[in-house]
Amino acid sequence: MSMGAEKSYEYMMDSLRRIIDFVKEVSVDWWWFEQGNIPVIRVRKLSINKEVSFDYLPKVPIVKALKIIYSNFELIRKLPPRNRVDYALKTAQDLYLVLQAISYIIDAHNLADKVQEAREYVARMSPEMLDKFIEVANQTIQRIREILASNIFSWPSKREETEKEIGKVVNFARNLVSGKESERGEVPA
Amino acid sequence: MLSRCVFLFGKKRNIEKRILEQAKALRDMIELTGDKQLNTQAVREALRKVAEDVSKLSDIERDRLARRVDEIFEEKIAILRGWRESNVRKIKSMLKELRLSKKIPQAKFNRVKMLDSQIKLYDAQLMVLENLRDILVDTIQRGVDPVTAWNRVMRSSTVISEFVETLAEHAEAYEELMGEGVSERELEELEEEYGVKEPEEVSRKELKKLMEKYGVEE
Repeated sequence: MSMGAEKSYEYMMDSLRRIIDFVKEVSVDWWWFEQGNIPVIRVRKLSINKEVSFDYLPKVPIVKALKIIYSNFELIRKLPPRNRVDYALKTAQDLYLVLQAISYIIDAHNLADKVQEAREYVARMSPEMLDKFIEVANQTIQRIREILASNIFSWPSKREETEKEIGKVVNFARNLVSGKESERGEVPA
Repeated sequence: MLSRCVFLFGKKRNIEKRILEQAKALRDMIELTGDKQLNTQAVREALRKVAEDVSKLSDIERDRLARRVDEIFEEKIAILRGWRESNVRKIKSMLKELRLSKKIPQAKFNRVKMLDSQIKLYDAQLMVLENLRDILVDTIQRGVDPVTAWNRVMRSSTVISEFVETLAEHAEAYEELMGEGVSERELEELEEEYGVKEPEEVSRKELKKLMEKYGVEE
């Protein structure tokens, strides 16, 4: 590797390490998503034994996926120069998808937090209604989790629907507190 | 005359170096991970040596050395505080999840308890490290007698031993719960997946206690 290429490589690896640290840090707050430990994405893993293999793994959690990508880039250096570009491009594609997945989870987290805020509101204002609220809120949270766990890239198409659903949960909380229990029928099933 | 000065200077540098190494060794004794145990006899021995060595240094040298020992400990204390904070965030996050669950799964609750024990362990480690640092700094700066210093170490090590026991208990409970073979776990997963088995429930009271402790609002 030339000096320039070496520097760029080090810069890229440093950025990747920072991304991993950042995701580790933010994922701790994903209370509705097992702190990021739910397997959501498939990435390819490069292995160099007697032969070079580059196969898809089963779905892995986000941080694990980033670590696999990091290890791929480390291994790519050991390959002969003519093979490097192909594996590097494919790994970069995987990285792009993982970053996209992270942005979807962060977006979903902002929505899920609204449910948590509504829960705190009910707990403060009408603690006796809390069980009723939890029943409804839990279903919504589970649904968000399922969407992301089954196909994380379907999030953009499901987002609007999910946002509406959360809006209903928040309204449900308001209604519970203000005693308008008759409106509970509007709550998502 | 000059050669004598150089000789004395070199000797004092060696003493300082030795004390710093002892301080580092003492600091690293408070690990408690894997096979590492808090060796009280080694702590006492190291403190005695430090007390002997510092008597050969001037006030200015003692002061400088005390500051460096403080820095050595502070490095580790800062790392441990960071880990502790990270665990506190994690436990808060898990408690948020549990409080929105209709039934609290036993396995998840045990993980929360494990985390709680880990935080207690960090607290204990931090306490021992801070005490040990104070003892060392006192010994170096003012020459606190080793008996007084030792009594403080003993108090700290008793506390930490208790925490280690608690952690070990939780670890055992957790391992028992997780089962020994993969197949058993897979079976449980399948049972849950097809709605054959309801997750075990634990009392909300216990959860509430932990929520209050970590400032997660009810």
